[in-house]
Amino acid sequence: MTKTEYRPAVWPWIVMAVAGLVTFVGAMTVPPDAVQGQLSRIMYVHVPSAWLAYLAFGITMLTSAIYLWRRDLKWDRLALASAEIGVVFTGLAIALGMIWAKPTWGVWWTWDARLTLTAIMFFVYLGYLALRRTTDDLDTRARRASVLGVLAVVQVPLVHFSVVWWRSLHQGPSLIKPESPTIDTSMLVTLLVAVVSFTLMYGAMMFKRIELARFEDAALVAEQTSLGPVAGEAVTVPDLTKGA
Amino acid sequence: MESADQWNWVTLAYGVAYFVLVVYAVSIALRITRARKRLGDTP
Amino acid sequence: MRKPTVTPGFFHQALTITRRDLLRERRSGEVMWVTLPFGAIALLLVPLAIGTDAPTLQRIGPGMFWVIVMLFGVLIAIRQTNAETTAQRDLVALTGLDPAAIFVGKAVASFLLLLVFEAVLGVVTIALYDVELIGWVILPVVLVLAAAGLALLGTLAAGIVATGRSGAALVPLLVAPMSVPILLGATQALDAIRLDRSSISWVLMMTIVVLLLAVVGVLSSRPLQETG
Repeated sequence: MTKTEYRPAVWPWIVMAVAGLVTFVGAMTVPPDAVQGQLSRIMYVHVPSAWLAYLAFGITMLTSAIYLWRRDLKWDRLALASAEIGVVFTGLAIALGMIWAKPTWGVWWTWDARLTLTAIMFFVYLGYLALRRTTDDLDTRARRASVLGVLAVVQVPLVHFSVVWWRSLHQGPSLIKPESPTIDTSMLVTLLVAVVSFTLMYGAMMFKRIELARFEDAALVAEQTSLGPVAGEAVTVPDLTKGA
Repeated sequence: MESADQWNWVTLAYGVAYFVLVVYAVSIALRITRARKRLGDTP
Repeated sequence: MRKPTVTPGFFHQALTITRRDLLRERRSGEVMWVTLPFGAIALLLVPLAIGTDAPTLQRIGPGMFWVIVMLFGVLIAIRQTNAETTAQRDLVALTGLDPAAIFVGKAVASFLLLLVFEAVLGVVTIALYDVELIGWVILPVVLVLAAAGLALLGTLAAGIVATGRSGAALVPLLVAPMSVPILLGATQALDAIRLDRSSISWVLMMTIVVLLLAVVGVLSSRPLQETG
């Protein structure tokens, strides 16, 4: 990528800002819940974050598998972008869930299936990102990460299944319910708007993150293949780019 | 729980959420600038 | 004139690798003298921190056993892979051995060592936590499946990371979240006996996990070998 080729896009920032604003306005103007009061407003950032956590995870793992099949680095960049953004939204979903749970049910954490699964997923993400840092070679990195992606695609549904089953056996009748039993129309609409806004935000973030990945990979390759001194300053690689 | 207390929690939640999102977005922008500089491509 | 040599079959190749890994273990003794004591002392530390009253220990004993097996057992699978340098790995690859056979061989070696690991730590748990052994049929099945699942997962994860440098904790980090079905399967299958419920479903789930891990491991062995 050289000066003349590519200018970073500006529109994604605008999309992100608008999406954030729309969600905020919606969450603040919607009437409060009959039971949970103002606390219900937290739902409008918590639920979209959780939704994106799962969406980003799925995309990371799927594009990893596609890379293994296609061996085109663009799929690997997609996987990485989705993983990094996914970590952010997963962490956010967990944090917001805790902020919601404490005043509502008196505990920071409930061991219900969904929360437990989200926490596990967070660590799978972290492992994926940590793995990518083990090498600077683009192809090796992509191959390792994508095998992990495939492993996760296979194993995570089993994790999901086993955790849900486990909780169904052990969660006795309790007052802790993950969400209100019925949801008012205006709240539902606001929630859907929030989910859509956040999804658009995710899309815009993906665009910029992939752009970043392309710049970084280009810089990495440029540095790895640059002409430099060999065996000290006395000998240098001959410059073959100039004419004979 | 008092409505005021509830608003405190809501403020905390939205503060955390938007702070994190903004910081992350800014980090992408900064990293792009840094990568372009490495490429000798300063804007 | 000599007869042309025949390429050894898949399982022969795998067994050669297993034998190699077990020989390595016999020479270095890392599992027996390091990882095993480490697991045992972990079991010892828990009551020091939580409290030594018998009812509590009896309740948490089985769970602690499985958690220690899962977390520390993965070190056994790592050992098998990271014991070799890149040069050694390349040499084995150059012999033309089927990478899938290499994977299976390593996994089997780790599996056998894990069985020993489980057995010894099991005795320690019974002693320290006064746990009652139940489910004489299910227990061995679960022990075998857990060892197999962990061995496959650990070998696969170690193959993915495949680098001598960078954190010793990366492989365990990758394994831990994905070992949840094995952990839950083992604990719930045995719990079910205690509660007079059926363990078969959990055992079945563990079997599926093992089969899937084996398939993924075999299929990804060649792409992973390419990375070097």
